[in-house]
Amino acid sequence: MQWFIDIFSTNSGIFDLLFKLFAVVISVIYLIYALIVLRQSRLMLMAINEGGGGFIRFTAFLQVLLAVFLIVVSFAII
Amino acid sequence: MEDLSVPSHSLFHSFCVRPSVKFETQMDNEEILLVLRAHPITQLPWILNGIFILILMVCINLFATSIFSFQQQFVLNVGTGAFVFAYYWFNFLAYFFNVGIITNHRVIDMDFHAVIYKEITEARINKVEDITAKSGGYVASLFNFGNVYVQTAGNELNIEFENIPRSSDVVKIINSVIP
Repeated sequence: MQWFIDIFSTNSGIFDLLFKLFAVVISVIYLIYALIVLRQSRLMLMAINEGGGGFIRFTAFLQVLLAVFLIVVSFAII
Repeated sequence: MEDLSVPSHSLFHSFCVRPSVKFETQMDNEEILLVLRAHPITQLPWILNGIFILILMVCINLFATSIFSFQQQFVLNVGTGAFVFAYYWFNFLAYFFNVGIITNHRVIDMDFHAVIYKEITEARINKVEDITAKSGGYVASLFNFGNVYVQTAGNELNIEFENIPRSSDVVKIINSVIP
């Protein structure tokens, strides 16, 4: 509770809180975007199936993992 | 003119003859003769934009230590890297999946606008009335790419292949397939 009060008692505390909030919100939006692109890339591969389908699925999944990592980092590190 | 019996891929898979590709609405007896994508040189703007953002990130890092803590800088760098990755991936998908396909039965234009909107326009080969190749500008002449417009009879939608390599050869190929 004291920690929560201390955040609002200093300018740097408010700045850190706003930065953390901004980072988490942007990370969540990025995760939603990554999930949409993952789904769309699968639909695109159904529309035209060329070699490299595995690479495209893997990279789209990697983007989702990156988004999750970004959320974890935003929560944990800042 | 290209030998349509020999499979080949050129210009980073933007001009593919008889590729081993399958598409959604392909019929059993339908053979793919040509798969076309935009010329790779037309993708340079987004590639350079991404590099510029990364350079900007490095430059900002030099000044950001006085404003942000180490942890905040780390998150900013990872976030910027993620943004550039997403930007590159989005543009790569748009390049890779916006294709023109010429088969022995049809001419097909497959477009994914902003990745989420799919538009497939096709025309039977025997309905093709007019084919136009347009190429203009220094860069287009230097790298030999242009637009091909396929007009069909009546009220059917016309097909447009934009910024494709060797547009004149594509016109010759379509003309050779028309019965």
